[in-house]
Amino acid sequence: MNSKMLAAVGISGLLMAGGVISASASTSGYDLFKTAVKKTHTVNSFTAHVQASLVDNKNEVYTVDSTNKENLKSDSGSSSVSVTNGGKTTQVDFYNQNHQSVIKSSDDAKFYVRKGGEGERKFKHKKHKGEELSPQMQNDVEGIFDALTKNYQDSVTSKDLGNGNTELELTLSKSEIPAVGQAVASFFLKNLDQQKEHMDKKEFGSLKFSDLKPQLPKLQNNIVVSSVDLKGQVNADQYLTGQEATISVSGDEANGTHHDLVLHITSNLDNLNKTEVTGVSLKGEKVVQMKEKHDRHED
Amino acid sequence: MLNLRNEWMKLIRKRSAIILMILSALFPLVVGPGIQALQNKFSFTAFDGESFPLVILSLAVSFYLPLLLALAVSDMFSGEQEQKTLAFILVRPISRLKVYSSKVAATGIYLLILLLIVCTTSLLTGAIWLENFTFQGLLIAIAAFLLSWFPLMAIGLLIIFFVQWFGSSSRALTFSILLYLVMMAVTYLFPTIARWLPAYDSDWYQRWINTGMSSILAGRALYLLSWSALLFTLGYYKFSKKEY
Repeated sequence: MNSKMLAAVGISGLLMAGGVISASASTSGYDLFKTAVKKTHTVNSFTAHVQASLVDNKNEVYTVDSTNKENLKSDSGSSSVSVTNGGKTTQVDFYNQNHQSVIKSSDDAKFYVRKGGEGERKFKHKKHKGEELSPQMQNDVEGIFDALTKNYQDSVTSKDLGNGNTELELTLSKSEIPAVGQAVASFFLKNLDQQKEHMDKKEFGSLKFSDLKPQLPKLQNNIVVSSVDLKGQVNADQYLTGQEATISVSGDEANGTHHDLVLHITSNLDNLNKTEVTGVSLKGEKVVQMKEKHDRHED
Repeated sequence: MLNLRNEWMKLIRKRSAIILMILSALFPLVVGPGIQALQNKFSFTAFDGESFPLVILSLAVSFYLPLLLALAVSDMFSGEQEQKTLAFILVRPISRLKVYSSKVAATGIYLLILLLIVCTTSLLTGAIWLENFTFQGLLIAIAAFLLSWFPLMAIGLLIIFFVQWFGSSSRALTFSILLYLVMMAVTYLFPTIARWLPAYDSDWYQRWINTGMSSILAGRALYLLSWSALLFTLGYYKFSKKEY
């Protein structure tokens, strides 16, 4: 190899290394996000404030406001959920204690008790436990996740909020949302009627789950997820304490009426590893025992 | 450039090249109405006129175009060696560097034309068959197709370097496909190594759409350009030392 060619190989090799290293040495918010998610996964108790609202053509049609206390160690939890659906507000309290779940709604003085802690709570727990992977598998999953999101990682911006908190944000406009996301969203919206029918049938006295379900317009055409905005807040101990998602979808009904839907969800975690769940005393209250029913997840 | 015209004519007058160009043009035209029918039947909107060209592009850059590139390159180097036609060019009063760079340039033009064909027909399909086709989507699509030329060309130069070790075009093609599949697998299994391979950037247009110019993109662009320069030099070295 003559010297000219050697020089060309040397210089381009060096430049190449420079390019790769400068591109990967970014202290992007994505890495902080990953660390925080992994760390937050290890907490065994927390209090979560979850708020959600759905706006249809600038009218707020549905809001949920809930406080959830969860202690995974003692397998107990309580949540207080307030749902405003089309102007009517319903307050429902859930308790999970002593291997039974208790449901109490504001519409009814009775407490509904189901033995065995069956239901959504258990489903949630199962999911939690199933995520415990071996470190090797965790690495592989992480590698695949990294590869799938590689074009989005540097879009995560981070902002220092002071007192050790950092805000991460990822904003995706329409052309940035992957086609799979668009397909899932439109499929979900078009087939809303068929979903969760088994949930609708559940009744607890005057409380019907179907009352708690938002009445969404039946979108048929031009369904597009126009933007997704995700925010996360990481505290000084690198726990993911705040999450916020704003998803905008637009579409037309069969008769041509246009709808702009905006779903806004915020979730704040606090009292990490310090949450004590206070149960509810059923003494002297009207209690209705529910029969064990096997929930099949038909949808 | 001397000999470029010659190389280009050899490439484009092949029956396979013409057929592949027609197929590239037909692919989005057939897929578009098909998708439309599926979307109506199963009621979902995976993509509209705006995003359709980008979906086609993502399929094209990950499977279709690297394959066509490998086919053209293995014909151009190993195939000509196999048919013993390469010697005729080498005895002409043109330096080996010029012969080599004219072959690389012809590959580059071929790739660009393929990209433009797929771009045009997928834009047409989006405009005719799918809802929500916008001018902004048109501009994004054209920019994305043009940007995709760089990582594909970097892969092409890697293939050019390797096929010169093979005396038959079929073996060269098989090797190139395997090489490409390995690069794709590495992207998912060993992300840290994958950063050193051009297949990592084959969908880098998404990065451009998402962030615009950033320090990371500048780094990746520098990588792709220097990778291309490096492989061009190495490929030329092999070509100049080889005895036919």
